[in-house]
Amino acid sequence: MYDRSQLMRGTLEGCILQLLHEKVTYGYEIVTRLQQFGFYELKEGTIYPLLLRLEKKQMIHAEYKTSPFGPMRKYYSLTPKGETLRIEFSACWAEVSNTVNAILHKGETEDEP
Amino acid sequence: MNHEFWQLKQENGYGEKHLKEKDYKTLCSLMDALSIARIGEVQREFIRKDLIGMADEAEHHGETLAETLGEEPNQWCASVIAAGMRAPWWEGLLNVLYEMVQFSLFISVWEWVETAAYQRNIFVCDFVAWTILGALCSCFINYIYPHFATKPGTKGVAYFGIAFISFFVFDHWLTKLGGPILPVEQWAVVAITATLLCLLWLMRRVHQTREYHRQKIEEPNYARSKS
Repeated sequence: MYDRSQLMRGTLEGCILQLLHEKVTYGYEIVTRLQQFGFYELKEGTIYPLLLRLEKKQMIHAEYKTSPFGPMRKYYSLTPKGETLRIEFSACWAEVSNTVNAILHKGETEDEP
Repeated sequence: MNHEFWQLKQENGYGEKHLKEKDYKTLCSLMDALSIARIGEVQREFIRKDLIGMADEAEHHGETLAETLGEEPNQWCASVIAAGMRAPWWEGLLNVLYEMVQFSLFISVWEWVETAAYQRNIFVCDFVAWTILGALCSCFINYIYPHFATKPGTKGVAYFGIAFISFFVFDHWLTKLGGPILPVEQWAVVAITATLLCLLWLMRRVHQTREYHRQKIEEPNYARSKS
């Protein structure tokens, strides 16, 4: 069976940047939103190292804020560097997905009379 | 010198106490794995804070920290290291040196007291032998078997216990090791070791403060005054 997680992992960074472009949010909400979009098996622990890496590369900015139920939450927002990366990712993804789709559907179009 | 890093450690200790038993155990195993993985002490505290936050969030949603992680502690730590969180090599060296000298100071004071009764001189070879023993203990407790002392304060007790037992085991052997290589007065050994320890402590403190400010994440002021 094809290992879906490998494919997902490579695109996760771009998806997180896109979610952060939409709004400032925290780890659990990022995971919930990603799950809603189809990353069903994703856990907060999976995206944490990714967020750390983006934070270290100054693509995102982290800030602690109190949550409604008490403990502090780490909120992430996009930095100008992160915004550039997001735009680059979008363009790159459009190109790659077009290429892959063209190859995958090549047979279908050739079979048509 | 500021105390913010120590305040962070205290806050984490406080936060840890309020976790569920299962989450606390998961957190301990994660912190053990991180300490073996040569992640810097300051970075480790920030990760600990995030993990406590994750555990709280998980509890609020009826889950455990282990479920939220979705991976085994070692595997998860490998992902964190892959994110570029490894400490510089000299930080580990500084920590081991600090613990070695700490151990040596304890032994040299002990020998000072003991030799006053038996009229035996402390030799430089004694100092070297105790330092090597200190290094071995440090490696054992911190890297080879970190589960040996995970709860707060247990590391100090472990050091004391090992030093105390090994003193009686090795003292006889050390006395027989040969004549004085460079005979030094007992008080001089204690003074040299104490000075070295102060110097290393200062170096560690400066490094920790610098790292703390480099990695610090903004938070509301009222949250800091909470503790």
